[in-house]
Amino acid sequence: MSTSSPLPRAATGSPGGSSSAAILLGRQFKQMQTDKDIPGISCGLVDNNIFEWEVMLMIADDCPGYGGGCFRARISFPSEYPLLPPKMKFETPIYHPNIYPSGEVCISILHPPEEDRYGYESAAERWSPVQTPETILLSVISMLSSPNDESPANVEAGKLWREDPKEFKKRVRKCVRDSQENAWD
Amino acid sequence: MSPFHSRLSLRNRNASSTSSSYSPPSSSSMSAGLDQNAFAGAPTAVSTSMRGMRRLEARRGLEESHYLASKARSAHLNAPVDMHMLEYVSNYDTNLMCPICRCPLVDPVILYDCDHCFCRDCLRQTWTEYTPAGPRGNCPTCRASTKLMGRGGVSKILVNILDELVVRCPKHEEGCKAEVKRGAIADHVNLYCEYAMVDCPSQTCELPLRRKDAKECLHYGVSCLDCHATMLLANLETHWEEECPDRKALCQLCQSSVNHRELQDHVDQTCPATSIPCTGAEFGCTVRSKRGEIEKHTKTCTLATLAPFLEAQKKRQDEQEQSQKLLARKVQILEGGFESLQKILYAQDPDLSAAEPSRIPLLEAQLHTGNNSTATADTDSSSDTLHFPAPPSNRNSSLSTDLTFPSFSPSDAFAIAASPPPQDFSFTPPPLQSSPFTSPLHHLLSMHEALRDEVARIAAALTDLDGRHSMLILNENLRLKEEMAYLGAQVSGVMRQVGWLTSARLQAQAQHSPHAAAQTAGGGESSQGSGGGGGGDGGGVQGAVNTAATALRGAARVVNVGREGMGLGRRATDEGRTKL
Repeated sequence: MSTSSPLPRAATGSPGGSSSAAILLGRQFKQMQTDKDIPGISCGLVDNNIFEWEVMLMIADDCPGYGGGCFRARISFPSEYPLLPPKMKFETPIYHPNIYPSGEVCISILHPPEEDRYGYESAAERWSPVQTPETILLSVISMLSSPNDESPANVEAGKLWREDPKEFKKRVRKCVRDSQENAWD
Repeated sequence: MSPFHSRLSLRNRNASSTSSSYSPPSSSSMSAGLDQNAFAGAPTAVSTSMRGMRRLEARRGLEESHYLASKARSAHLNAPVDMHMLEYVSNYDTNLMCPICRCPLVDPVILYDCDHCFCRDCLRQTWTEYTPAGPRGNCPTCRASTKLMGRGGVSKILVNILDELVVRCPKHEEGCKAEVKRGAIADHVNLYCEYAMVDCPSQTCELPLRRKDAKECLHYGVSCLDCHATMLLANLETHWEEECPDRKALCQLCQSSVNHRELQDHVDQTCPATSIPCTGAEFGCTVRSKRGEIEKHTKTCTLATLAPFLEAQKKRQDEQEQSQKLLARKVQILEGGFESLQKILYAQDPDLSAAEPSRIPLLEAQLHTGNNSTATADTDSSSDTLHFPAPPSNRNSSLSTDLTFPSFSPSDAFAIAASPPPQDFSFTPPPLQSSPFTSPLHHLLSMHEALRDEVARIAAALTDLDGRHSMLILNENLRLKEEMAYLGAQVSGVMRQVGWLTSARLQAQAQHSPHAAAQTAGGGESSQGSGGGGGGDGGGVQGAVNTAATALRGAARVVNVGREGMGLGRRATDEGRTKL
């Protein structure tokens, strides 16, 4: 439960150097810690490094399929943040069309604007420096409830989601149950 | 921003309208008056004022160039102030924040059409990063294609508000305590900050100095009085304060000489004269005494002795609370799961949503089985042929434990089960409020459990009964076999007797037949002696009769013995049965 434990004082100031990215992240991290309007999200740092966040997502029950799940994820920020997007990776196994089996999240707002290797999304949907960790997490949560099957990262899950919703739901429930069991280990 | 902006512009318009309606006459008259005055005084003082003005201008020019030069020098010596890194003292509105760097806007720019505001640097970095074409791109906030507004686009009011924010001097880590408005921070560092670097006042020296030290050149070698290290005088102060390994200082409290660098640590941790609180202070002891004497107090202070224990307790309590929180969360999740289960259950069978136990058919069935089994138990105990291993009272109690449904307490059930007339056994479940189960689902589950138990018990009783029956049948069979064998023996005895009698009679007849004609007188006797016999010798008949009588007696004896044997056998079987 290192995620929600109160941080050492050094972490709330400007840990991990004093570059503007670190200062910005420190400010945003502090805000996430104190903000009470975002229920179900708790975050902490990995090794007291401001560029590596560990997030626990507790999905609300009204989210279809994934409601009640407790997913642990890691967000890695580049030193160019906020000009370049962070990467997000689920550490709890999660079955979703837009999440690679390795746990990496495939969501358009996390793609840097200049690369368009897939040709699926226009620049308008990609990373913008005004995004914050909070908006990223909210986007990911909304992605959980409404998968985008145009460019599935987990092809098998995408296929199942389209063709056999019942079986898909079963698999999702199983992963949610597993996540609940393993959340506090 | 925009409503604020529009309101401002509205006020401006009002102001301008009022000024346009009232002030023009007065101002024009004022200026006219001034002009007249100026013209009136002009001929007398024109030469002196011209000279003064010229001098003033020259001085200003000098000051300006001096200012610019010192600023340039300072900028060369001190790193330029990064506005994004400043620490803000005053609270600011979140609307003043740049959405990219999340601090108050620095040199704000506004985009065409969408009116979104950013720091110039933030936007430049964002755009040159992706579209090297120039200051044109998509708004980071609304993604609309747009370009920069000119300098005039940003309201002066916004800039003023931003410049009014109070920040801490970037040299505060070095000791500057100044808090100045953000608009003046660059000037503060370049011109006033005591801790900013400036050129050495000596013409020949090129090394920088802190502004507060810049009265004379400090760039010559000295050696520290304590450690004898050689250094520049400019660095001596820092060395003296922070680095010198040999500088001794006198502790004001214990009068001992300690290393200057470690003075603070000494006072905090080891100085015997520092007044420190008792170790039990956390738990309520108010005593403070010198470090050297705290030992004495600690020996007598209960709280201090208890402190380690209390601390451990506290730690444990914290741990417990932590784990309790986790458990609470887990329970919450489980409850959520239960609720969804319940929803599924009741969505399929809406009748069950009325959570009254007697309404639920399962429970009713359970009640009936309970009722029946008590009745059978009673009849069993009264009847002779069937025997349950447990005595009836025990059975009732076991039943009562079986009957512990959610809605009524075991004691109730026991009272009902023990009540004499089992036929009147009527069930009045107590009101729901006393139910220990909060949700009908729990109720259902527990009922299911109870039913399962009941079924298991009935199965056991059945196998028991089966065994007992087969044993009973076996016993009865044995007894019947015995009796049949005995009867068979009797029948064969009678048969032998009859055979003997008939053969004796036939013999007698055979002996009589030669003298039949001669002994007609004895015929009546013989017919009297042997019933259906055709008559015979009187003595022979007598002997036959005698032997028949003994045989009969013997048979009777045998029969008696058989009776006794049979009785014994029956008793034995009875005993066996009772044993069973």
